[in-house]
Amino acid sequence: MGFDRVLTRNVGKPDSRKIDTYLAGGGYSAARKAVTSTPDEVVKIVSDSGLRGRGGAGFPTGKKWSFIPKNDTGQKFLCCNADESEPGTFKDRVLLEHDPHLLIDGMIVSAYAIQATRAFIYIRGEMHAAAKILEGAVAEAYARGFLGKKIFGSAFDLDITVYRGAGAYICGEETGLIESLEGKRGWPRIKPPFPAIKGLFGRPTVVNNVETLCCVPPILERGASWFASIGTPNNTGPKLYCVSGHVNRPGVYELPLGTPMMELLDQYAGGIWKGRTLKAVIPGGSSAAVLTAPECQALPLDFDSCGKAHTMLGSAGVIVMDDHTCMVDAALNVMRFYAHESCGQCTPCREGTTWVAKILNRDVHGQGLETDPDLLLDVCRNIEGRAICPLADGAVAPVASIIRKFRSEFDHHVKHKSCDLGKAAVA
Amino acid sequence: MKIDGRDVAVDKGMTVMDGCRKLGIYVPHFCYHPALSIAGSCRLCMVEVKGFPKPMISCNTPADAKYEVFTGSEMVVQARKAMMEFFLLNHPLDCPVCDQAGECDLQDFSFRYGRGFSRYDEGKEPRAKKDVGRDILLYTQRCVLCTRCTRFLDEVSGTNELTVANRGFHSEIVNAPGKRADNLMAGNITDICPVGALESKDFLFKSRVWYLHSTPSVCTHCPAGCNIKIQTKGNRILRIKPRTNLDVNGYFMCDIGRFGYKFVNDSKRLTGASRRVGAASANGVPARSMISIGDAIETVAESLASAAAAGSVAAIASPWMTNEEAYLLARIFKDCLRSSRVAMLEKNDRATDVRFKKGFTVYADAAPNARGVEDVLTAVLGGPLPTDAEVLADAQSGRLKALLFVNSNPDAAGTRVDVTALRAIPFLAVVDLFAGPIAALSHVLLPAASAAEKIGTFTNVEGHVQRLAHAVESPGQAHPEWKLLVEIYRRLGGNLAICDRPADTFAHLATQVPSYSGLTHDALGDGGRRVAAPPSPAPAGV
Repeated sequence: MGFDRVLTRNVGKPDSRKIDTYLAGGGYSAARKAVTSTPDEVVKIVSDSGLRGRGGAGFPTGKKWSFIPKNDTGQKFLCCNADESEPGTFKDRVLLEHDPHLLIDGMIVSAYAIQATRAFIYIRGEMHAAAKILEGAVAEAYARGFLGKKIFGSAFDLDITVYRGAGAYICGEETGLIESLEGKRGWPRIKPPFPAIKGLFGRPTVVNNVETLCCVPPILERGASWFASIGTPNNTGPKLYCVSGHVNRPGVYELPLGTPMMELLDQYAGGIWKGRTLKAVIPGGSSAAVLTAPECQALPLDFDSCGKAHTMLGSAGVIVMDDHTCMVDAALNVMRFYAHESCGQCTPCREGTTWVAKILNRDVHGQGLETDPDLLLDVCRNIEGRAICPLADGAVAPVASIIRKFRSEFDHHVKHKSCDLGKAAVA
Repeated sequence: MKIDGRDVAVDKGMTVMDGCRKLGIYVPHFCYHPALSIAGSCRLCMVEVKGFPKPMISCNTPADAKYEVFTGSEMVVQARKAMMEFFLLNHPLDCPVCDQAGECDLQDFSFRYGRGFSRYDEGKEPRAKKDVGRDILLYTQRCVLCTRCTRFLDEVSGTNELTVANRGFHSEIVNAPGKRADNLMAGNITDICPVGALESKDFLFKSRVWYLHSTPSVCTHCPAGCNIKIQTKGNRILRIKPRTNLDVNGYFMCDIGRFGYKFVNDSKRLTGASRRVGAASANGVPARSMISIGDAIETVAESLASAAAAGSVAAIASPWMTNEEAYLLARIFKDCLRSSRVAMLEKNDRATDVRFKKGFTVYADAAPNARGVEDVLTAVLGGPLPTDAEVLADAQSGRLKALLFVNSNPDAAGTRVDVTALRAIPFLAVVDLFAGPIAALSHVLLPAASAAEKIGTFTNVEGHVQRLAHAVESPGQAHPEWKLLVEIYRRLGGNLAICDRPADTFAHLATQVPSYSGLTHDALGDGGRRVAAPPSPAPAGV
């Protein structure tokens, strides 16, 4: 386990959340460096590093920043997406609770890069502790003059506000987040226009994930080529992997992008629990398609490799299921979440997710029909790609892949009116 | 841009939906409405754009000259069919008892684009019927959540009485806390609701819509001149709907106009002519007896003529009269009575104009045609016209021997005039809809027709001349004012060439009133024509 931790370097240190701890490790030098460079130089360093968004989509961060109109001299906004609510994902919370100044440092750099003088941290409502810690950290930064007017003696002003959501999953979708931040229902917007052109309060806005922003200070401190040397080509840098489910040591592990799945599970997460064998893994938070155990064997965990395996790295929420897992029940579990969290704005998601959950429910309870798997796949096809935001696609991907890859379990449920597996494994 | 093989020019800001509309290609949709912002949520208006793997919603896809669009390809047909299945999952399928049946987009789209049977086996979840406003019921379970109503109340009326509550499958339209949809434009949400969710209490269970006969006309309850459809069954008006006219009212109308039709059906309407029997006591109402219309007109013509000979005849013209009627009245005075003492009935104002967020205005003036009547009288008789107060002062002082008072106010008690002055007139002829206080004092009373019962034109506050249409027959012996005036004119020896029909009268009027020059009823069409520049700033239309 020779990897030198970057993002979690301060985690575990006493008082890791205090500004002095952060400064003692060379903190805020990135922000200092940024405000003495030009915005274009900052964008270029981050672009050169190959940093891709850690929120789920893996979109190149430098490119996202470059969409902000340069000739627009009006107000621009930076939003930090701290609405971490993807099932199986708990990496941002570690950063928020243990090293909030890393995030603030990254936000200063990023805000400077897009010339936003106003930034918000939209934090999930349930994260009481993290919100308190963040508010304290922001106050510390203000007290030192790192935030506010003319920061670090430059001509750049930046204000950061911590805004607490109310716990809706959909507010983690960037335009849902923006609507919520404006005080409205968290209904995602139709695109175009994209937030870079018309975002928060109708102004150019960038929304970046916590982990993405936390990658930025090390890039400025140690250089783009250092960052690019970590990981695999086109999938650079360190990554926080969240391992949950049927393993001996669930938790957050920082490793280079492209770390093989089995290395993560066996060497870091302590292998499958209770001496059982691996059945399936959802690699990128519950919105990703499921992988069977054989598919996991040689899979490097990075954006492109997961894409090639017809799933996604997503938020790197690695959900592990052992051989005692009923996959029909797993599908229901996932779909129930999406049906509950669907915002209800657009038709296919509002109606479709609930319908699929209802069918899965009857299947789990031995009341399914032989035709159900095909019906489910067809309804999934009718939802996928037809909705306003990616929630619907995220709801469909795991369920459709479970049906395709574990169809025999559905057939067993229909035929025997029950599951052939121990229920206890799920409970 | 190419749509279904046809070329359409791409303008800046245009969407694929705009292109389809330009070509007359219908793309089914629920949430899209030309007067509202784009919601993009119903996902029904999907089209295929060559090169894109997924169907695109046409309402929010910017048009591009490079696009090749298909509105009926296999991908589109499949996507629509799937979406229609979703819309009907929890829909109660209660068309047999739903007022919307027959004019329901959900019904039409299901028939045209749906799959005919549902694969949904689970139970439907009932949703309550809600009373959301003075005239509005929300059958929640029929709702497709297109949010046209909430966007209308947010963007057009600016009153925000309805909103969406709950999430996902449980989403539903509800009243905003403490608010009911009672604003003066609220009725429009029952029109723009594409399904049977928002229903008018007034029309509830009155008729299946396919039995209704629809007549295009103009609203008569303020000078905005909103274009309407008068919908009738037999000889009764059952409801009024707005008719789209982008130069006048846009897509909407107000509730005063929408429910103002009731006076037309009122059983207390005047149905015959009458004359006064004996004198009135100081405050009492004289007794009356019915006479024939012919006798009444004869008496009026003779009395006006003899008073004219003495140089003391006058008329008060109603702003509910059509331009043609005002013209006939003016010609009677100019040609036959040699008088120019025709006053406009003073405006019968409600409190104030009500102006909504997006500009739609309900005017304080309750009458539709003050501007047109004034245009016509002034052009024929020369201005300035005497005021009704001046005419009544003449009456009070005994100088006036005969007065022809066209009231025709749909509000029986709505005209405010000095009744003691009316009592002093030796001969008072009144044309009216109801036996109100003015009619009660008349020596001869002629029953008038409502605007729904006659042909003619009104000129709205901005100078837009528009046609009324004959939607129902008048009750009993009631006659349109133009017919009564024509008869008076005929008996007084007027120019009969202008008398045959309102269209002829209007053509003649157009030769006399400069700004109406060249206009004919046919030229006005259903949309009307503007005879003057709109007052600045912006017009009332939405």
